[in-house]
Amino acid sequence: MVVHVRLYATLRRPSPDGPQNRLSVDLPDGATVSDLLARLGIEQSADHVMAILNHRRVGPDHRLQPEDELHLLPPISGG
Amino acid sequence: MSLKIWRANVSHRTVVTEPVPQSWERLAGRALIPRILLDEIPPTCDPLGPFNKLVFTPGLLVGHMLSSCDRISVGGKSPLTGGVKESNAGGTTGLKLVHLGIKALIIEGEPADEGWYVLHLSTAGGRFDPADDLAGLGVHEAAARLLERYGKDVAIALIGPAGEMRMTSAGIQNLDKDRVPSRIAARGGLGAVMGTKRLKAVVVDASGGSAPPLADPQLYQEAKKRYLKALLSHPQTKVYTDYGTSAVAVMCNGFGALPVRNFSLGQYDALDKINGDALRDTILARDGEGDTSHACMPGCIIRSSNCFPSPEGKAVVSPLEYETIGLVGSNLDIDSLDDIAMLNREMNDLGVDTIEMGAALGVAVEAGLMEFGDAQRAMELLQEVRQGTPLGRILGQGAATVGRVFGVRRVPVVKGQAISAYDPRAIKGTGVTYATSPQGADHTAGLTIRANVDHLDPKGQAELSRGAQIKMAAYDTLGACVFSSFGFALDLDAIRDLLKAQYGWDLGTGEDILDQLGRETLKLERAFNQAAGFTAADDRLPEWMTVEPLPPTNAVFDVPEEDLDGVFNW
Repeated sequence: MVVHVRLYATLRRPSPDGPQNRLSVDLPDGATVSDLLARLGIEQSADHVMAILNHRRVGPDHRLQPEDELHLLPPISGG
Repeated sequence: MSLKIWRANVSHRTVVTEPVPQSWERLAGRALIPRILLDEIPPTCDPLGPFNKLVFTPGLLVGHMLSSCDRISVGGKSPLTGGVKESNAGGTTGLKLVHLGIKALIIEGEPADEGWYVLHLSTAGGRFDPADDLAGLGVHEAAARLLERYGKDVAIALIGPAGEMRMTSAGIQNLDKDRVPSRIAARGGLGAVMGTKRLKAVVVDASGGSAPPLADPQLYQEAKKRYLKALLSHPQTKVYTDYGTSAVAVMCNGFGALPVRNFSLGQYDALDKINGDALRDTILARDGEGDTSHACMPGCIIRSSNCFPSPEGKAVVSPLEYETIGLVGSNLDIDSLDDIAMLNREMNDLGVDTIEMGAALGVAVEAGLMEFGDAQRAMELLQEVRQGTPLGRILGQGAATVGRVFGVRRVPVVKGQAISAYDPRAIKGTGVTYATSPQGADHTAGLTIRANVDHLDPKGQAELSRGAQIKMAAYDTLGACVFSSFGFALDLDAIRDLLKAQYGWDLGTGEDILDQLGRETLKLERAFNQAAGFTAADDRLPEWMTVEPLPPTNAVFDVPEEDLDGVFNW
């Protein structure tokens, strides 16, 4: 299945055309958020990354569905 | 040198120093403000009348250039909320006050004449200098003249035209380490209180002063080292260094909680143009005087501030923060960082809170005074504020007044103060904080967005908010920036050891200290508000937020009232 990922801030990936922030990732059916993070090489601690799907935070064990659009960002607060 | 209370009386234009009363000794910053108000002013007094007092008090850890721990708390009875108000800022005011040995500066009395004055503080004491030549000036020009007059090493806290006109959106600007007057104690209309005292500025010349003595210098250095190591090792520190608070925009948008078009939507389709990534990329591309990582206080290693440049690379505003992106950007459907920066600079120069003014302009759109997305019209309305026209004075009183005058129902305020850039329908724990904080809706009183909970579920939000409110009240009492908490969280006992090393106090574990300081602060603040006439009915969000669904989540604020009333039953 394919899931779509938006990456923000420090999780964006450097590229010759500037930081890359949209990816589509092919994962096995039943893959979880944790599997996705492992594929992307993102450290899996709550201090490093927050995953938001359909306006809710989802944990590493959440099972992804085909065509999900997941937002991955560093979990900060304050303003 | 022991710290003292400095009392400036504007009726007689005298400044006297006093020993610190015993019951104030272990308080400072946010905690000391309600203690002073309870001890010295009638709680029901007119906030813009002769009996209110304006207090400047650095936090407990201020004075040693410990990273992110030199903040100044400013307080008094708020003319915006009618309750207790503490508003804190970075910059250099806190540090310099402590170097003069000042635990709290209390400004009191009724001006004897219609002149404007500068209150000048130095090792020689305090004096009032005439300053009619500064009346009406924006803070940038006024600060430049003050630096020329008093030397470049002074700290300055000053008001702009809005404070002079006693507008309740007015804050008090402080110089940052580069002498830019943009570190604002923004919230609650304290600039108007300073205006009633006829003070354009407080100038602090700390030459000849020094950092306060340490009871145990060796322990201090050891605790400092541990804290700095923890702060540097935390992954969030780098995010703040590179992106500052602007990185919050995408998180809030992801939860459907960004203020958009006067809080009528929670997600902004043009956010990519104004979010933290766009801000950083724009600053880097333009170069020049722009800076993605800027320290507002000397010694800060987080450097979450920034400097936003024009296309030509000239500094426009420093900092451009998330709250301003939210309230002046998406809330007004203004999708250009250049326009937001221009409006931010103008608001800074007027000396107004960008949250309050952004919310007021959002309500003004619904009143038919401007269209969403029209930055030029927003600028024209700010000129009405500057000129003190009747319309400008209405806007300058903030969102609640604009709503009342023009009959708008969708007014985002609690206790009369504008809601900051987290829509409480989609981040319900923060909604509990907005509703119940003695400060009114406030972005510094206890945010919950980072918590690992379902923000749309009303259950458990009161407890979550309680913990956040206690923690924030404690950090504001220490004089510590909220971002220092990432470092302290890894070694809470560094707080215990820093306080012990500075004061010789033995107060239990770091966790105990935060809990005690936070609870004591909130207890004092609530006691003042109760004496001022507040009841549980004031601890509510606006009614429309309980019935008007917020797209795209279509959430309403549905935390039960009994949960709100139980937040402080501990």
